[in-house]
Amino acid sequence: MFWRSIMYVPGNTPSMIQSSMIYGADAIVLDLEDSVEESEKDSARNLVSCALKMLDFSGTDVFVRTNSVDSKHFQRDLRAVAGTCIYGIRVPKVQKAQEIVYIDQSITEIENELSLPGGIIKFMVSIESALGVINIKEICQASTRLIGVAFGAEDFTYDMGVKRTKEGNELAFARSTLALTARAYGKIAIDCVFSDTKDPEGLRKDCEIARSFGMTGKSVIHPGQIEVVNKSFSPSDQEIGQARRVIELYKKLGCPGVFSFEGNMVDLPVLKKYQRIYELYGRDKVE
Amino acid sequence: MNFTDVIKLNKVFNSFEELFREIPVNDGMTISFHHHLREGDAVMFQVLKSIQKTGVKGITLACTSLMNTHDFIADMISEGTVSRIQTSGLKGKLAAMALNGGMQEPVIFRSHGSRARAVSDGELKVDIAFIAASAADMFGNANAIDGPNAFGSLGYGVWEAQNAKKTVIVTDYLSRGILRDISISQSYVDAVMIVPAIGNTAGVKEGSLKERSNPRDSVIAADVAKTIINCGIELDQSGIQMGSGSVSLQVGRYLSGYMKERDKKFKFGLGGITQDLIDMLNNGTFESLLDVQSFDPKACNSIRNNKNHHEIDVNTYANPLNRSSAVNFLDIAVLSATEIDTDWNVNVLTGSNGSIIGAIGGHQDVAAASKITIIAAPLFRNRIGVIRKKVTTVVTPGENIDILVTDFGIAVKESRQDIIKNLTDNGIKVLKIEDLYKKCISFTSEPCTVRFTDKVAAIVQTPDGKVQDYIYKKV
Repeated sequence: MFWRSIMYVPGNTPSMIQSSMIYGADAIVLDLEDSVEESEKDSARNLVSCALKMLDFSGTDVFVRTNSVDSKHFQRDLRAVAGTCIYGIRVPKVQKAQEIVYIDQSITEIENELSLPGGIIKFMVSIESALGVINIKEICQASTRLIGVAFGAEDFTYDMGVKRTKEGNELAFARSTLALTARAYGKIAIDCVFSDTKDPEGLRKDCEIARSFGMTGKSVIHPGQIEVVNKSFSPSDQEIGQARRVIELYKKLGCPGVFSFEGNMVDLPVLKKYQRIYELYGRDKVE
Repeated sequence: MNFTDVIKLNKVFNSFEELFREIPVNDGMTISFHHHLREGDAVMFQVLKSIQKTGVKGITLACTSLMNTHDFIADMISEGTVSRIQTSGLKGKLAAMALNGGMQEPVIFRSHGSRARAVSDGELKVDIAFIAASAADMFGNANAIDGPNAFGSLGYGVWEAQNAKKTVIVTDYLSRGILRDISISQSYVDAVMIVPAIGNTAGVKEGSLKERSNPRDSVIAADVAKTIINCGIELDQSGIQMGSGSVSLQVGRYLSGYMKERDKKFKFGLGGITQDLIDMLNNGTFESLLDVQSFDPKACNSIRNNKNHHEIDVNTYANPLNRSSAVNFLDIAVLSATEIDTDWNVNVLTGSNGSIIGAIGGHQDVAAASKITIIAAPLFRNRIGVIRKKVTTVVTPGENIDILVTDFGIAVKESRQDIIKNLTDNGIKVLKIEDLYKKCISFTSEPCTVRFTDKVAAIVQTPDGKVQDYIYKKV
């Protein structure tokens, strides 16, 4: 479970859905919420449901963004996609732990109805308000089924009454808080979208900031953003090489608690960092 | 006519009436036009309307290609001025008319190389070639890089002038002095016809250049570039033709960066020349450009000022009877397709509903000659699959195609084990075309077969003049 790039795909646009898996995103989110007009909610739900049953997403993990729990669509959205090939759902505009409990219970009910293995449907939530940021600790603790939190900057800045800038200073506290808390409770933290699809350099800088806060990946709104995001959230070739050499030395020395690598001490926390990079990027090359 | 008469010969005409007194157009003649001005062409309209006024009937129209702007010819076919068409491509009303049985005889489709062959071996005898030129002088010398409506290379016109019985340069700019740059020599020119305007050069770009931000095209382009880099061809000093569409533009940019980083240069770039290719010439990606047709009027300055930007005629480009034609020196070609079948046959002329929607261009010539031919196409367009069990019309036979790059993967013909090995050794996943076909129909389902009558609407020739396939009138 490691997604650097998660691409939104409008749930009411068949041409985008059918090719959504070719762009190299680690995961896609078929959207039934903001990109779908109220009058098209039913047809988009049917379309997404059919697509999940018919299409081969070629190893790309698929999420569906449902409408928010307080909307009349949430239960229908959930039922339309349960039991399909989805990895999970993404629920927007979550503000309180009670909503997490409600989502968990709703999924459990459907899993039981459909005789699905318990816990097979995961979910992520989007935090898009000041209240959501403040309550993030309780939110993260409210369900083991919750795998991660994503940050929604547009709604957040609207809620805060501030202007969103490319520098992103207005988002710093929220991003940092979400990433920190998610990490503390073993969840992944997905950064907000970068709206300017024609500014790859701006996107790269934004990714650097997000990564420095501890975000593990980023939502994208255009296929052209995927390469930059994947690169930004991947270790460099130098880092991968170093991780490989550390792990090789660690094994060669008989897995000691502490050892020296190129003049630097490697203890358990440092080793874990290298092991993570090795597991994600270096294993195939070593073997 | 004695020597004095010859040197006093006035070639310049200001009215078609006078021109046709000197060079008569008669019933049943074959006249030709080039398509350098593409959708911006106004010459064919002026010439044909003037011929129509004379009451001449039964003209065979031999054009290097026909575009939407030539829809007016449909009415001339209906009332008998024009009877037959020979071309590389057909669009709009004319395409519909051909398919609906509106022509007396089937349209003959030839590639650019095949046409060059046909006019030189006598299969296509042109009585009068009307050649649009952006500039001419009083002796009849002409080019397409001077004058207010300059459009670049005059590659198709040059060969027409050398092979037609009579050649008329049609221009809107008569130079006061002798032209410095001469594409068509006065030796081949019988008359210069001055018209108010030869057309709108903004139309030159239409139909060739598409917007650049289509993400599916970007995926295909990245994989085409990756394929070219890893297929086993030494790119330094190689020859390449990339085409002019959105995918080609992006392939060019990928390759440009790759070549520059490694201090490599293509020996030459060939085919329709875009501004992007000119930029690549200027930044050192190419040593030379061989320009048979400019897809951007800005090519004029480059042809005039850059000695490595060569205007070439279509005989030099792709005549199969010419051992030295440039296509024979191609290492890599990237071509498009409306359809490709599991036997690798390619269609670029008709759509899956049987309609004529494209043009052969240089497709057959380039595929036959290039060491490696890559087809770049999406797996499906809207809901229509590009990969079929059998293409609607075979334009380029499968034996001349090596690789298919789609947005859903890369397939290599099994007989090209060398390419398969090179790509897989470099970590590129290679599929069979049947795998891509299965993937295609998983989206689109098995396509229905279009029903045709047994009436031949058009004949598609091979480069050497045999029948490649027939296009039939639809039910």
